[in-house]
Amino acid sequence: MREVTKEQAKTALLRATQHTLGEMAFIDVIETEEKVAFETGQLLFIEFYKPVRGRLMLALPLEIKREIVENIHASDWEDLSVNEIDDCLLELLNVLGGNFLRELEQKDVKVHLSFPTVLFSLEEIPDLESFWKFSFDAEGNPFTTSLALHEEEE
Amino acid sequence: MKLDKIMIVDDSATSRMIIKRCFQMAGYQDSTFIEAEDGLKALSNLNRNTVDLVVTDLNMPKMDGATFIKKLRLIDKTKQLPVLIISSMGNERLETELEEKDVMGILRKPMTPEKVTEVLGE
Repeated sequence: MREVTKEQAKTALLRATQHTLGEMAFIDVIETEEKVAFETGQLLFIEFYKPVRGRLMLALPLEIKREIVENIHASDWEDLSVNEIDDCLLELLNVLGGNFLRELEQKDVKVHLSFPTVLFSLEEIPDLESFWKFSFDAEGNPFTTSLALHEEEE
Repeated sequence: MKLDKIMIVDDSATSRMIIKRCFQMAGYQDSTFIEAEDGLKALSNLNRNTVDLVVTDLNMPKMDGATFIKKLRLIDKTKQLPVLIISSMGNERLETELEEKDVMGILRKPMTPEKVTEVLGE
């Protein structure tokens, strides 16, 4: 695997998040210094296998989660079922994962991702300390995106 | 391109909703949309219905998009049916193989009305 620095990963992740949230939910995203606790909000998780191996996790506090889902569905939060909300956030992570890998490679590279899942606890994730944490701000609502990249298996 | 009936095949209801909205915004607001959550359900639906275009994801449980397209090409009724792939993932060998099976195009998510117009024309 080629060496990916933390700065390269952060740049690719910020661009992918801006692209994905902008086109899917019409929300502007910028980098922020404000830290959001890892455990805050709903946890969403996806693995990727090509062109690099790794894991991506999104921790979305209620405010931003609500804004994303309402914008994508063009509906009020109260009118949406739990299934609709989960499906919406999982699809967002699925698209974000693909966009991140293409931003990382700087081209329309072919990617391979797992099915995204909702996590109920951080304990479901091994090697949590290997994740890089990045804080972004979606129109005043901070959230955390965490990323771990792995060596290719021999 | 005139499309009276469009089938959208994707395991995510959100994705199906976004794809439908993008087609409507691209000028297909009068089209009828039929939805299926995987290739198996889509094939079963196509036994009963005739559509003008199939829009399908690749990464789906039960029957993935690639298997679904291969099966479509084996059935007389759907052998020539136009297919558009919309996916967040891909695989070079698979995509080359699918392009050889007369797929109209492979679009990356997130879907936008502009991408629909780009493939289908104004």
